[in-house]
Amino acid sequence: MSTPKQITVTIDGKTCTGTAGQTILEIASAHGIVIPTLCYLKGLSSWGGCRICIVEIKGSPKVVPSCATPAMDGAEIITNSDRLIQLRKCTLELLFSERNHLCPMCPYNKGDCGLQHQGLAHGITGIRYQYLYPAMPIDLTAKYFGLDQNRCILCTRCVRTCDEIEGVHTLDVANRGIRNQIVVDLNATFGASDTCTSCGACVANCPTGALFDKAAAFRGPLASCQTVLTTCTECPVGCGLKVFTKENRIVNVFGDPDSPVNKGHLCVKGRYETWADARERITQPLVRGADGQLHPATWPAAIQRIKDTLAQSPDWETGLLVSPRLTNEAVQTVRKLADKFDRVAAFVAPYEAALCGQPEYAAPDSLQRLDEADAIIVLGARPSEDHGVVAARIRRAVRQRGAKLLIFHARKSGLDRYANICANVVSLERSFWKQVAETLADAQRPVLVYGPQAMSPIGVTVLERLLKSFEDKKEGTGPAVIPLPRSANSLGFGAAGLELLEEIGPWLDTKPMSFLCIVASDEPDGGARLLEERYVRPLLSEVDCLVVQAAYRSALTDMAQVVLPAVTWAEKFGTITNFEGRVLPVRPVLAPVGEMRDDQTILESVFA
Amino acid sequence: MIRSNVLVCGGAGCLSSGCHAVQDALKQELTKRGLDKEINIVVTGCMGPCDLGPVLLVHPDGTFYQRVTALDVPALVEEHFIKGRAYTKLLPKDEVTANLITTQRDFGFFAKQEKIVLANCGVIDAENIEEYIARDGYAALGTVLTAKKPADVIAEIKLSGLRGRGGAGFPTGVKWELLAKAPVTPKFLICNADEGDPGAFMNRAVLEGDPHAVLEGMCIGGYATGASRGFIYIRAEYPLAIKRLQIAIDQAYKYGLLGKNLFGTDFSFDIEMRIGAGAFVCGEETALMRSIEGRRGQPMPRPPFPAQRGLWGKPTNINNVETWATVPVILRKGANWYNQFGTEKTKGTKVFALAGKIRNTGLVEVPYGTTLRQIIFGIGGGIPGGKKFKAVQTGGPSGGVIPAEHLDTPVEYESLQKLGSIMGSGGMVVMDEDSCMVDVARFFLEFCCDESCGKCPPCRVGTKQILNLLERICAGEGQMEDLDKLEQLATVIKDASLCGLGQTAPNPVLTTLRYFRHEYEAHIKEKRCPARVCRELLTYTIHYDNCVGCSICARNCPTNTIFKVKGQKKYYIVEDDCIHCGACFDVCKFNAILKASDGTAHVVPPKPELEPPPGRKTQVPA
Repeated sequence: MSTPKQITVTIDGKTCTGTAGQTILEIASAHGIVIPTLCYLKGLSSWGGCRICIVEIKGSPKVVPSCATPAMDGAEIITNSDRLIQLRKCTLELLFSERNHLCPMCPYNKGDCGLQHQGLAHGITGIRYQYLYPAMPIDLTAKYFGLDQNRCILCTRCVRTCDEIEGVHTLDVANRGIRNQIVVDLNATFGASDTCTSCGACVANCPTGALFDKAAAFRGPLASCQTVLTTCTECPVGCGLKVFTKENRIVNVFGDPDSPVNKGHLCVKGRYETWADARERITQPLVRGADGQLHPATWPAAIQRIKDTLAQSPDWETGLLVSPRLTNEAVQTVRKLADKFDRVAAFVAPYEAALCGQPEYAAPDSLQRLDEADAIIVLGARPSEDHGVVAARIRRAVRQRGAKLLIFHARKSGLDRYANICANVVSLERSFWKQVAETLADAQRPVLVYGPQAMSPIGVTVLERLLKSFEDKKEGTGPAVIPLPRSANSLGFGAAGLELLEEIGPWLDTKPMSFLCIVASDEPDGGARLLEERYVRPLLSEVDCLVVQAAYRSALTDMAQVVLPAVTWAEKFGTITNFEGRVLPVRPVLAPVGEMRDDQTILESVFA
Repeated sequence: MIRSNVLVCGGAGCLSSGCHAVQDALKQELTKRGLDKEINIVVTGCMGPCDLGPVLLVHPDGTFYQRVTALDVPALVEEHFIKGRAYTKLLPKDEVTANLITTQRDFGFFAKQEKIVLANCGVIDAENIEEYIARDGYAALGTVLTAKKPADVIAEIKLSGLRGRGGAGFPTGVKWELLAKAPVTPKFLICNADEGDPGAFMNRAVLEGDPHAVLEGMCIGGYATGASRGFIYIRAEYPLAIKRLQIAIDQAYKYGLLGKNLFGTDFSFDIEMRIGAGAFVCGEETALMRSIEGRRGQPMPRPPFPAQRGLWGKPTNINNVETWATVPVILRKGANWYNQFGTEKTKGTKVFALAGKIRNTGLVEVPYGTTLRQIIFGIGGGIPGGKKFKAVQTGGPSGGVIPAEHLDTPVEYESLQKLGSIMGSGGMVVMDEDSCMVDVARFFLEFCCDESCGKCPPCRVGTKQILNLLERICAGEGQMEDLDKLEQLATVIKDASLCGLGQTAPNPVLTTLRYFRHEYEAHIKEKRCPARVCRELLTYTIHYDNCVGCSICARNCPTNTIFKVKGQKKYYIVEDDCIHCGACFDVCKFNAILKASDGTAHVVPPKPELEPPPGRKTQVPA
């Protein structure tokens, strides 16, 4: 590959070097020259529409947008002439006149609004144009965020984000001219949209308060918050988070732009569900009293209760069942204490055990392979439901690079509409494989993503058949194989050598268990999904002493004799291993409230 | 044995005035008289004088008939084809001498034009490729492909001095050279047939009347620049042009003049149409390319220019219909023949669409350098009804008004720019003393505001703000500071807008302010519209002497504000409730309604005792 040509330009009299193809803005930024912008955002395509980043080039009477204009070798550029400043000011004033920008009523007041920032930077205290006062609608139908058209400046950052980052293109501009409006799908509301994934990337990239997070609104400017970088523990992708907190409460969650995993992007789980959903938190140990009700107790009392129970009946069958959300450090503690129990296991998703035992397949460049793929096969996984950020990358591959997408599954998923071939694994015909071969014929960099369902009997058959169809292709064009488990620290567990259960019924039933400690950790449902499995509820109610260690109250915690308050991801400290095999840090963003403690501390203090 | 060809103009103007009926009547009458084997009917493209339609031209005599109706046909056939003399009732009259004009050659409207682009329009059957070939069509392509190198073709176009006819006037040869130099393939050519200016129909005539000229031009361009595919982006509002163009494309493919290995060489070229969806902004080249790609028609900043990165990121060249249609004749007759027409800086001819307050509305083609006076008064026939010329608006909504003092300006790009207007694509709207310049500015700003794509705030909000100001002035609510505000906004919009729509939208305001500031001041200071156009500034009064008391005005008044004077056969308009609709003015047959705009000098006539008009139970106001 030839090295790009070096070019030299003068910006405001300063000599600056860059490479051919770079925009004027990029070269200026690299040399510390600040040009005001509004519609420009690094990582998105250039729009050139807000007319704030305009600059003058000697020899031309016209102004050009520096964010979208490639720098020409030898050009003399001015960024701050009187004419430019005047034009920028008037353009900003026109924007202020266009819609109803009422700063005092906006959650982005005082520092978080790009429009306000530019207005103040240009010394605007009043406008010379008439306010148009249009009647603009507000859409509050999305669960976690809202769209207030009164504050929109039509910069289209949201449109470009939704199209280029999340890949669903839910947002676009409708009508023409002064009647321009950002719309959802074909002028639907967010709540009625069947394409919006609620990833919130549009909200994060909106420069004004037009798109705003409901939970974060009016909690204070971001500059007044503390920030912590941590990792999301909702799924095995392990996206980097940048969490803003104030007075020990989360104000907002953004993606960490420097994380090599997600590069600043998040899905609805990491951005919203983990903290914005209202759940009942367990803050103190609870012990079931003689009256059959759970009562708050102190730690010593609760621990003593458990120790007494165990001491009373030394020949009891004891078990420890843990959530796959535990950090690597908590898993180590579990291994250490394993011989204190008759049986120890972790509960994972159906057919997931095989995936957890394959750390040797996980490679640090799995996501990069996905970014370069020209054919993607998804078998037995539903990234659009379980790994939002991976789904975004798949959609980008299909829509931007024309990659082929083949989906094999037994259930519908949100990714189906982007697929060239979408097949129900239960009913595959012979002629179908010919179609698959044809679709993959020209693939140079195929990727095979498979989830737990690929390990089911049918899934394995399809997997073998797929791998075989690549054998016929020439050397070196076989697919990159990416296992995609569902549970958060699946690979961490796989390495720990614990028994992995896809069903807990048989495990409970082999020999009646009298003492069972379930470490539900910060499962959002408090571990209640275990009860959905057949026979588990009656089996658990037969356990004499059920101890549940959880962060949230649920039907499971309501069944326990002792409930121990656990911390959530927000208070945890440790590491998890993502599906690529990366060990990622989980750092506490909040100090624990009440009596909650982290999983390993609880286990050590109770059972060590 | 055909002894005579009757050319029936099938251009848009004549279509709407009923040429189909004339054509059918002709067919019927000729058959009835047994002449159908001797007289051939040919439907052609636009002949030019659209106001006189439907028109007929009889060859070889050269007799030109105007305002022909189906009812005239039997008498016409009798006179002309059986008795062998002109049917004088339908002959045009010379404006000055009032003599009848017996042949097209003597008709000033035609004689003073130089038809190069429109050479075939109105002469051939646009749906028959063989007629185009018979007039040397595709000969230039044949010569170019077999005897010239691409660089020779570009040199010829450069020598001819051809400048883009879409309005920018950029030298076409230079533009082609940029594309030829681009190292990436495939390369594309685009014909901009969006023609969105209100009142412009130059391109329409060529597409409907001589579509092969465009196809041949694009093939030649493809050979010269290395392009392999051409797109004709045509507005959806031109269904006849779309139909004729598709017929032309299909015929060209059938005859081997489009497609693979033209004229036995290894040059192949394909052309297809892409149809617009009703947006003026899609006439802007980058927005046009977005539209062809299936995206929202919004312009993108340049650079990068289309020759570097255009359609689907590939090098592209866009030219106007008229530019493409000129290419074959340049290659056929030579650049030195072509550049004898025009001025030093601008060679060749231009088609103008004359519209508005002018006797001969229609299409005219004249060499550059012809003065506005020659076009408007010489060919156009001047202002009808004895009215006085006030201004001519050139270049559509991007252009400006030019007043009488500049009528002797030779028409070319630079000279019009100096006056504050632009050449544009060739629209020329003539205005007389009954046109209000403030209203003209308001009209064009309303258009630009409506058609703005909305991408950049200076245009999206700026045009709306400037329109609001103009509407207030037209309604009598303006203030003197508004004139400064207009100029300030105009500067911002011109300088900061992303594309040509915004950058030229303020031109109508700026030129009307420059040449007709007194009209603005009258609207503001005196609340008076000198041209009596702006509704809110009008008053309607009944002239007692002329009023005969027929009550037709009262019966047509939508707000029931006209009453009968008690005891007299006269009527009176109560001004308070008058909405200035002008219905009374339109229906009065006795010139008894005075439409005036006196502004602050207006004196309300004394109110006599009134009673409701007969048959109406309206309440007389106190």
